[in-house]
Amino acid sequence: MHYFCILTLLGVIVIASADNKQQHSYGNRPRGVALLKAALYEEKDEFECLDGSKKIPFDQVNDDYCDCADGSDEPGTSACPNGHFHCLNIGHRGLDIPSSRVNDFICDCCDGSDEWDSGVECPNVCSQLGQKAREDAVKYRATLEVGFKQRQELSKQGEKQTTEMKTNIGDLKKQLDGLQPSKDEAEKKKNEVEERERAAKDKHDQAWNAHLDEKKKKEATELFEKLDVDKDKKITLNDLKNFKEFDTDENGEVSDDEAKDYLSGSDELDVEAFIDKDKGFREIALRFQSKPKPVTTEEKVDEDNIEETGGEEEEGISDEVVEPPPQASDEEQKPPYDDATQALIKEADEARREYQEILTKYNEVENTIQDSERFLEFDYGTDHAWAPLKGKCVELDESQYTYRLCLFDRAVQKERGGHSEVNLGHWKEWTGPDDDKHSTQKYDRGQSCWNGPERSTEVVIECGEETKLVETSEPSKCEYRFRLQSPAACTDPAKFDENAHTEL
Amino acid sequence: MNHELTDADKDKDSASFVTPTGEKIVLTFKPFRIDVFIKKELTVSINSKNLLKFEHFREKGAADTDEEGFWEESFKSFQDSKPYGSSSVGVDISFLGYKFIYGIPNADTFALRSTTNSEPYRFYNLDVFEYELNNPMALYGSIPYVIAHNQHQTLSLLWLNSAETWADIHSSTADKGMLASIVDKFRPSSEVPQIDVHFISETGVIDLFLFLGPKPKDVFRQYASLTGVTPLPPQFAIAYHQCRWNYKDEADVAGVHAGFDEHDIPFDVIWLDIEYTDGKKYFTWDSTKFPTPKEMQNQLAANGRKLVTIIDPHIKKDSGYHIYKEAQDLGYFVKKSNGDDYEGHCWPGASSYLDYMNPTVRDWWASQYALDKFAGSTENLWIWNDMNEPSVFSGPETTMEKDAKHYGGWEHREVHNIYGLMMHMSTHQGLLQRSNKRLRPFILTRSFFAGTQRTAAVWTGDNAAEWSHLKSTVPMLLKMSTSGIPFVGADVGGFFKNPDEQLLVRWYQAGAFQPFFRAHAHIDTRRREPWLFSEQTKDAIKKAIKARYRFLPYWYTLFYEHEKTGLPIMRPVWAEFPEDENSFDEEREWLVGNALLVRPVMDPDVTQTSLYLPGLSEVWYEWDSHKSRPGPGAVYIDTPIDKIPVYQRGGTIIPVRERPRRASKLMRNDPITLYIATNYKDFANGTLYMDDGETFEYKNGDYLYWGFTFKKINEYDFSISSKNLDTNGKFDPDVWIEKIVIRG
Repeated sequence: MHYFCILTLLGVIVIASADNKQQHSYGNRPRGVALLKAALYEEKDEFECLDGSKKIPFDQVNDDYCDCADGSDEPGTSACPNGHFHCLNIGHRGLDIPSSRVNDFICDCCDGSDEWDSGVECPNVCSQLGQKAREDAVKYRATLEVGFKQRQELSKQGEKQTTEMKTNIGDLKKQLDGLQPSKDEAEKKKNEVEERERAAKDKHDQAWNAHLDEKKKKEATELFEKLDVDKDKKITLNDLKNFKEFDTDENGEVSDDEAKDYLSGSDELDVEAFIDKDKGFREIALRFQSKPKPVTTEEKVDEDNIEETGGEEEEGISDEVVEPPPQASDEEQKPPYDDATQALIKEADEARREYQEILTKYNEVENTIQDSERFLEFDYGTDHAWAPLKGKCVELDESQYTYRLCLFDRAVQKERGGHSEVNLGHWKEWTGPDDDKHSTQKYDRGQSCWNGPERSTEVVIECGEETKLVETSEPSKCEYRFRLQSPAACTDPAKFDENAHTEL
Repeated sequence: MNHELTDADKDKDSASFVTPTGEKIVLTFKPFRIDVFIKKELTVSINSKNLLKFEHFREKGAADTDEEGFWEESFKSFQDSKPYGSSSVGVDISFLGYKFIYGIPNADTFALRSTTNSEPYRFYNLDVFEYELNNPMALYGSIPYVIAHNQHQTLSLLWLNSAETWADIHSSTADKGMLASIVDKFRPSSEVPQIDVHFISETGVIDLFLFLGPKPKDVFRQYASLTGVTPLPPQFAIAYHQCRWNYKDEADVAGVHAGFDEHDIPFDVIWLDIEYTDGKKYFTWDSTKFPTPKEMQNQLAANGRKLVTIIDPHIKKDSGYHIYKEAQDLGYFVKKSNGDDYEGHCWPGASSYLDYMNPTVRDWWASQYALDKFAGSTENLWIWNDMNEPSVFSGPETTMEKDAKHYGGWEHREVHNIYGLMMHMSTHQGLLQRSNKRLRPFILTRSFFAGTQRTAAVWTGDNAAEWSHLKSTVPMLLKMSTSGIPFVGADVGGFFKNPDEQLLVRWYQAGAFQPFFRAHAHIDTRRREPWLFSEQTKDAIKKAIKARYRFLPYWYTLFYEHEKTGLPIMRPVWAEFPEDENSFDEEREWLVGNALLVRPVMDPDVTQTSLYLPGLSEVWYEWDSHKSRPGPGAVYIDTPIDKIPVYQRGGTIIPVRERPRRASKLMRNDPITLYIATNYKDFANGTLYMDDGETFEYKNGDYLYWGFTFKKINEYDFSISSKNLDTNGKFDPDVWIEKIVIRG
C-alpha cells in the first residue's frame, strides 16, 4: 500500500461550518476581496486559483478550506496560511491583512470586518481613524511644503557651492600652474646659492678642524712625554705607576689593572696609538686636569667598595656631569667666516626666504584644491541638498548624555555636565535601500567597547522643517541609532498629492 | 514497596524476599550486600565492593578525628569551619549485563562515560561562567540519578542527597571485576559486561532508590511516582519565547511586539532580564525605562501575549528596599556561621540571600507575588528564577560558603543542591495564590534538583553561539528529560557571542522541536530579532517558528500525557526502541513523543544530512514529502537552509493546526488536521488533548481527550474512527477537523 491522500472531513469532534452566508459589505464579491480584484472573483461555475494552478467549483471559494496553493480561494477566511484578507475600511484606508488575522479575536480592520465569526464585537472606528489620518496627512503635507521649499533652497546652495567649488578648482589649478615656474625658478636659485655657500663654509671648517687636530696632537705628545718616565718612547704600565692620578680605587698604589684601564686594555702604547686611542688620551688628560686626591684611609676604601657594587657606570656618568670637560672652559673659539663667505650666507638666506614665500603660497593653493576635491567626493544627494549641511552639528539631550551628530563627520556621546566624550563613529556612507539610499547614514570606527566591537551609529533621516536630532537609542550594545529630521529629506508635496489621489 | 520478611526468608547469614513482580532481593549480612535477581539473573549488586561509608557527626576531640582536613578546610582564601567534622556517606552499585548507563544531567555526552581515568561526575549546583562541553564537571543543577539500559531490562537508581556529591562510573566485563566469584555462581557466561557506580556525598544520609523497570517507560513512570511530574503547563509556555538581556524599555518591548506582527512571525512571550528593575531590586521597576508596566503587559495581552520577568534570590542590601528591610527585620536571610546575616556580592552589589529552607520564608516570598503587593504586575506576568544555585560572585566557586547556616540549624553544605528548588517551589506557590489557584503558573529556573519538574521548567543556562553548543543541546536535554524533567530547553542562538545566520537558523530549527523554545542573548551581543537578518534567514526562522505553532496540539497532548504517565516528551531513541542497540549512544536525533523523529542539522555548510531510522518492521514517513522508508537503517536527506529532517513513525496519528497565528491563544478555536501514518498492518492511532489552555478547570472536567484509530476493514475498505478516551472530560470547544492526511 503506497498512497497518500487528503480527506476533507466535517465534524469529528464538533461541526462548526463556516457561516458564509452571513451579511458582508463586499457587494457581489466574495468576502475579503478588494474592489480592484473584483473581476478575478466574478461568480462562475468554476474558480481558477490566481496562480493558475487549479480550478475548483466556485462554491468552494471561502468555504473555510484551503484549496489553492497561493491561498487565493479563501480571501475571507483564515484557512490558507499564505492568503490575504482585504478590509474595505470605508472612511479610512483599505488594508490587506494576512489571512491568519481573520477571526483571531483581535480587531485588525478599523471597520471590524476581519472578526466576522469569532464572536468578538469590533467597533467600526474607521471614520475617527480616517479623520485623524487626514489631519495627520494635512500636517505632514504642511511639513513637506515648508521642508521641501527649504530643501530647494539647500539644493540651490549646494549646487552653487559645488559648482563654485568645481570652477574654483579649475581657477586654482591654473593659478598653481602659473606659480609653478616661479617656484621652480626660486628653488633652482636657492639650490645654486646654497651649493656655493656650502663650499665656502666647508673650506673654512676644514681649516679649523685641521687646526684642532694639530693642537690635540701637540697636547698629546706633551702628555706622552710627561708620562713616558723612562723615555723609551712607549708608555708602559710601569710608567703609569708613577702617577697617583691613576690610583682609581685610591688605595695608595697604582695596580696593573688600574694602569691597563688607561691604556685601553693594552700593556703599552706608542705615541701614535696613544693619540689614536681616544679613550687613552682623553681620560688621562681629564685625570690630570682634575685635582690630585689625597692619599686614602682604610675607612674610605670600604665606602668606595660599597659604592662600586652599586654600579660603576652610574658613577662614571655623574663624574662627567659634575666636572665638565676641560675643553669647555678654555676652549678656543672658532673664528668667524671671512667676508666673502658671510656675503654668500646672506645671499643664500635671501634665496631661501624667497623660495619659502612662494612655496607657502603654492601649498596654500594646493591645499585649497585638495579640500575642495575632498568636499566634492561626498554624495550630497541627487540635488546636492545635503552639501550646505556638511559639518553642521546638531545635539540632543537624553537623560544622562548629550548626543551630537556632525554631519558627514562623526557622532559623539558626551556625559552631561562632564567633559569626557565618546566617539560613536566616523562618517562611513549612505546606507539606505537602493531606491531610497539617502534615507540612512552610517558612522563607524568609533571608540572600541570594552569586550565588544567599535562603536557605530546609524542615522535614520526623515523630513522635518529644520535639521535636528529627535531621538537616540542603543538597540544593541555599542550600536547606536539616531533619528534625524531635516528638510533635505523632504520630498515634493506634489508627489504626495499624486499618491494620495491614486489611493482614493 | 512494603514487604515483611517471614522466617522462611531468613537464615543467619542472609535474608531474601521476592517482589510482587518476581524480582528476588537477597540481603547478605556480613559483609553487607544487597543482590537483585531478575529472571533468576544477578542484575544489581549493592555494596559488592564494600565501599559503603557512613561518617556520623562528631564532637571535637573525639577519637580518630585528627586527620588533615577533618575539622577545617580551605579553598583559595575561603575557610570552611567544619563544626561536625568529616561526615561523608557513600556506596557502590554494580549493574550486571549493562554496557550503557544514562542520567546525571550536565554538559557531557548522553551515554555516560567511564570515569576510571578522569575526574568523577560532580553534583554541586554552580554558576559556571562559559561552561565547557564534554566535561563531567558540576553545572547549575544536580540529579544524582542513573539509568542502566540494555535490550531486555531498564533499571534506574536515585542517590537522594542534596550535599556535594561525586559519582564514579566504571565499565568492564564482570569476569575481570571484583564480583567474579558471585557472578560465576549466578551468571553462566563469563563475558558479562558490567557497570559500577560509586556515589559519595560530603554529608547527609544514605537514601537510595532502585527502580526495576523492566522497560524504559516503566522506569520513567516509577521515577515520576517518587519525584513527581510536570503538571500541564499553560499553553503559551510551550509556544515560542523571545528573550534578550535586555529589552531596554517599554518602547523596545512595543517595537519587538510590533516587529513580529509586521513580519508575520508568531511569538507568545517576551522576557525582561535584570535591567528592568530599579537597581537590581527585584519586585521593583526602573521608573524611567518602565514607567507603565501594567499598560505594557495589557498591550501584550491584547494580542494574546505574556511577559516574563526575572526575579533572583539575592536581595540588595539597602534598608530603603522594602524586601530587604522586611526580610532583615524578620530574620529571613541565610546566616553566616557566626549567626550574622550572610552577605555576598551579586548583580546589585552587596546582597543577602533568603533562606528558602524555612517554610515561613517560603510563604512570605510567595506572598510577595500577590498582584496588590508586586507593584506593576498583572496576571499576564510570569517569572524567571535565575542565579539560584545560589550564585555569589564573592563566594567560593561563585557560590555560598558551606558553613553558612539555614533554618533549623542546617549548614549550607547539607542543602546546597536544593536551594534553587526551594526557591522556585516558593515562587510557584506565590503564582498559584496570586490567582486564587485559577491559573496554571509558569516559572523558569536555572538551578534544579530531583523534583524541580513539579514547579518549574529548566533551561541549560549560559551556552554560547557555537556549533558545538548547538550539538550539545541534544544530549543535555535528553539527560534532563530522562532524569524526570521534561520541560527543558536551551537558549536558541547561544547566549554568549554572535551566531552567524546559518547557525541561528539551524538552532531555531532544532529549538522548535525541543520542549522549551526560547531565544536568548547576552547584553554584549548584537540584536537578533529575525527581521534584522537577510530575507532568506528571516524566512527560514519564520518557517521554523511556524512549525512549532503547527505542532502545538501534539505538544500540548504530550504534556498532558506526561502528567498522567511521567513519560518524557523529548525522548531518546531507546525509550521507544529499547531493543535497537544501534541507537543506544545516539545523541544527534530524538523523538518528540512516540511519533516524531527529529534530526536537526548541527554542522555548517551541509547540503545533505544522514540520520538513523530505528526499529524492526517500522516504517517512517518524511514529513514534507510523505516518502516512506523502512527501519532500521540510515537515510540521507537533502537539507537546504530552510529544511530540518522530521519523520513520522508509521502507526501514529499526529494532530496539528495548519493556521499558525500571531500567538497560540488566538488559535484556540482553529480546526485540527490529522496526519495519519500507517504501519505495515495498515493501522495507526493517536490522541488529542484540549482544554482552555490556561486555567485549572481541566482538573474539574473541563477538557477533552480523544483517540483516533485508522484500520483496515477488508481488502478495499479502511476506517477512521474517533473515540472519547475519557468521558470525564466535558470540554466542548468550537473546534472541528478540517483535514485528514493519510500516509501509507
